[in-house]
Amino acid sequence: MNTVIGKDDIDGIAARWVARMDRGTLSEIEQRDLDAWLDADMRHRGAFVRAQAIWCDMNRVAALGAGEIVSARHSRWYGAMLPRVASIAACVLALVASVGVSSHYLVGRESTDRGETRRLVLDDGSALALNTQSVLQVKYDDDERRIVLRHGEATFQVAHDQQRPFVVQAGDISVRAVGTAFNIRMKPEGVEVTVTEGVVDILRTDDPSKAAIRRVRHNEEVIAHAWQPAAPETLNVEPLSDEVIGRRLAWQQGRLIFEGDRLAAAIEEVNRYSSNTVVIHDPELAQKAFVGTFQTGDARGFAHAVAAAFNMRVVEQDEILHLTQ
Amino acid sequence: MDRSEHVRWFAREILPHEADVRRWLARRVRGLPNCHLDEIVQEAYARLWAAGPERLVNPRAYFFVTARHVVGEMLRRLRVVSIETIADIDALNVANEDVSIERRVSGREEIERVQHMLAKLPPKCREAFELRKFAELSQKEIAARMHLSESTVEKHLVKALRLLMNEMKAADAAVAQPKVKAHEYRHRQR
Repeated sequence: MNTVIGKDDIDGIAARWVARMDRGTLSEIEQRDLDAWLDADMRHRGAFVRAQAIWCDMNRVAALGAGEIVSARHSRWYGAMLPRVASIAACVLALVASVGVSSHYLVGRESTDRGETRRLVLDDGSALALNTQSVLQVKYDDDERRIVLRHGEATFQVAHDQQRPFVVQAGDISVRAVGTAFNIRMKPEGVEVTVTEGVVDILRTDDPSKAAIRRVRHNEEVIAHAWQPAAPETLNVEPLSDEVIGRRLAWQQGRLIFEGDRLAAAIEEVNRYSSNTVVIHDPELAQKAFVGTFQTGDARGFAHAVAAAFNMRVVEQDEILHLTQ
Repeated sequence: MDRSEHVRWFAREILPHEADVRRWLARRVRGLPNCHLDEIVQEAYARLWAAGPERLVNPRAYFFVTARHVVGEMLRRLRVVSIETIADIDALNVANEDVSIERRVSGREEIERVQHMLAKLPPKCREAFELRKFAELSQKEIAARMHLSESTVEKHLVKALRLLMNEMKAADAAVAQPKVKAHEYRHRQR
């Protein structure tokens, strides 16, 4: 081997190849050496892939906090870099001006695709489950554990910490807890908060006094929005049985349970998880009550069960499952 | 999917789970030395790479299962390992809760971890790395800026990457202490 690469442990050699490839395209000889090394042992390839992935992942980390890391302590080359930094800053400013996006919207971001659910454990031991097509951001600091739910639905199991309240911000509405469990779903008509354990406070996100508009307890549910009249008693808090709550949160086990729900509502629910969309054309049938348990994402199974129950047919066309007479 | 896309996919879908897989292995297989842990992870990575992203619907679960296969084969190959450990590995099922619960650090914590790591690098090495990754200069541009040869810049970057690769293991080792006492463990096996 006439290249400098060699004489090191596996990780060291892998790191050298990655840095060499980062410098430019490998020469024919280098490529042959690399291939020979990779083929010599399964572990070589594994270490190489790992080194590449870590190297590549630094771009993402840089995107998270490049501003903080670069500008903090680097006056030494900051000056020399100015034109470049300025142009980056200009781009960022342009982005902020046009769509209001900045890197601070990306830090701690977690998201799910359609039909995907995820469970995460956060630094403080709090756990969360993120339902289909949801986006949230974790923003913890010394005084507050803040979660910004940008879209969708999530359940929180909050670790007790008297000093740092746990606040979930869902648009205009925020929910504050100390140690408790609750589910939040952002719906068009408002923010639905279901409490399964303990107590939470509902507040307006923009209220500087951080006063609670309403307290919601174990086995209660409320749909809140900021245009609610000032009188908090108008917020309709609905008591729910354990059974209803269990059904409501069955998505965490990958199931959807319908217990006398209207067909239209059941279809809407099924469609949240599936790339196939169920459509019902008969408005009268759409109001029928429906019972059944399904896997999230199994729109086809659902459509056929409905068809069997109501004597309909399923016509499939371009990922749409039409329920027709 | 071309090679660089494949690497990005790997960084996104596999890498974040390495710590959990290592923790899980260290917790579940008694007397597993660190060098073997490295080997298992390397071999699992090679297999995951060969499997390709199209076939992996749930990369995290596949990572766990692959690591379990690798460790099983390895322990059978190594005659020195006690029968007890082999018995352990047969009982080593990938439990649902191990796979389904992800541990994620917040973005802020991740940045702090990288800053902490960078603080350990010699100044020139750190500068080269930051210019490459945060300022996105090429190695050639960095060489010109720092008045160094390109091969020196490359060496600095190798050093930084090496450290990153090791830090990832060290972070795991800190939490890899087995939580189950020996007698409880035996009890569990039955």
